[in-house]
Amino acid sequence: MLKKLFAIVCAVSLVSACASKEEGADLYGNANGGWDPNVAISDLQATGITEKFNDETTPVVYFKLNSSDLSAEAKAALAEQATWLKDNPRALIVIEGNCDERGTTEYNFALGERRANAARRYLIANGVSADRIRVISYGKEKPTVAGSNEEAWAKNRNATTVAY
Amino acid sequence: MSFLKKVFVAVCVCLSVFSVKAELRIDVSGAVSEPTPIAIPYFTGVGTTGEVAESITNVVAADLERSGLFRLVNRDAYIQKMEGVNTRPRFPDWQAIKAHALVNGQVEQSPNGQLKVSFRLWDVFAQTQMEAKALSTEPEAWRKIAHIIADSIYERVTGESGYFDTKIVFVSESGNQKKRVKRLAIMDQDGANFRYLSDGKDMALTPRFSPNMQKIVYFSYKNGDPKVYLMNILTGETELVGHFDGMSFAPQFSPDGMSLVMSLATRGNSDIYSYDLRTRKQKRLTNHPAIDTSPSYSPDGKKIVFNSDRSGNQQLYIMDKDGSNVKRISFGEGTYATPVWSPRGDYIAFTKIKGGVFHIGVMRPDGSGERLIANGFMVEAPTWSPNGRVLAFFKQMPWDSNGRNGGVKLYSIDVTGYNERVFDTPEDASGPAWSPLLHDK
Repeated sequence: MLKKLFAIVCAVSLVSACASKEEGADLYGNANGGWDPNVAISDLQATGITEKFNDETTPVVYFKLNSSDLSAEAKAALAEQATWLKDNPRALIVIEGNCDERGTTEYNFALGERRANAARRYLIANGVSADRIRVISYGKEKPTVAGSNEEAWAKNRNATTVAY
Repeated sequence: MSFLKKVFVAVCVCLSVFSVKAELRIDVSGAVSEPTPIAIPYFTGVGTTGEVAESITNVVAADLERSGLFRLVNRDAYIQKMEGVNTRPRFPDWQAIKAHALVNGQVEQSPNGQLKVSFRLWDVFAQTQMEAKALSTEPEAWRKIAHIIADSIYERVTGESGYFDTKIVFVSESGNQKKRVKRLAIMDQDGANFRYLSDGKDMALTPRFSPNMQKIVYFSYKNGDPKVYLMNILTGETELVGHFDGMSFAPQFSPDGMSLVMSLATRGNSDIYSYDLRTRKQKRLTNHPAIDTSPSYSPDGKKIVFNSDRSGNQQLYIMDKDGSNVKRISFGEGTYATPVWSPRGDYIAFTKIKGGVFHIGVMRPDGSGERLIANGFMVEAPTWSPNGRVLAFFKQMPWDSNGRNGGVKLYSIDVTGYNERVFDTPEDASGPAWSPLLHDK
């Protein structure tokens, strides 16, 4: 679904890129600091904000089996994400909650939602405004890593932050 | 689509049935027994109906054989040639080839264009007729007639209601593990009449039938917003259920079809809600910081069994339909999920994970009598046949690290733990839900 959004955004950005140049828009497609989510989302995507976030932070935090507790490592990564979000105040995020395949479909929807919200709460506690954060649970339906082995399962128990 | 057109099947003549004693009977409640040998000569096609007569006979025989209760005696061995439904069996000829039951029938075209199928079921050793019926329908519905005949033979011999004239709605899957396409699909319980219900653009999961079979309720990532939807199976029209913050999932119909029960998740907490389809009002049934999900009504609609991790790991709980009197029923080792109440009310089927192995099991509604009846690397999501004697579920095979060579298939197994069979589906398949019996009895 993100891919689709991206395709639409690319088309839009061809038009808005010209306009932006003339108006001297910044990276976030917004010259005057006025908050227009629609404009911002398209220009952020076009300027590769997702990639920038991925390059400059640790976007994925991992969980133990059936757990949504944040490890010390996860907290450090989220603190880093929070700092980045403060430095990039117009970026928005979606936190995707994921589970390994060793659970049942419906329970994993709930567990993924709980994981994404654990990450969300930590970001908010670290000063990120709640209205910049959306969460979605993919349960076990969108594995980050292929394979049916311990290593893949450990990587698929995560909350992945996608900036746009 | 044709099955919802309310195919009219008339049972017009009940050919005379004689009283019997010490007759053929198969007990489906207890331990496994050898399949009963049954002879089913090809039904006689009167006039131009030869081909459909053969097809109908094949479907009847396949249904009965798949139940695990019958074994078809090879047709090459038959001594007597049955010439239509009124041929009187020469019982010694059928006893000689060790057939315990015999079905003979005929198919003819009525002057009004309808197909008329009549059959008789004989007890070969008691030398008596057990059942005789004639059914009429539009010619397109010949498969349905065959399933109804198989159901009446099953019913007559077991004393239980049948389950062959039924559908299964499920998730049809294709592609690599990381780019899986999951579409809703529907088929007859024998795999015929497969049809997609959704296009695969948005991932759709966990479909469940409404009691009157006109709708399904399911979960979809449509518009990137995971929510519960209703679909009219006939028109394909879909409708978002309610206006909830957060995610709605794990939907089921109430037995009267007037409301839904499902989970709503907001801010990291999933609770169970009912949703009245007439007033469009929701009612919170559980209020606990734990995950509460996978609700399923008892057949009388008075209770709900569900899955919660409030004890620290996933267990099964029962509550009244208004959310009161919550009581834990599972206490065994391991975790329990996806409880589904049998249509007979006698058992609750579930998925159990113990020591890294997945099982399908059943227990009584008070938690006693737990039995594990199937297992595998991953098995999940039992659903009951309408007579409560068979469960369908899915099995997943392990994926390799390229996301290939894994896959999922639908299986059925008797509640006794015997007769495990794979469903023949055009693609990989998961998340089954079995329909009610489609014909009135």
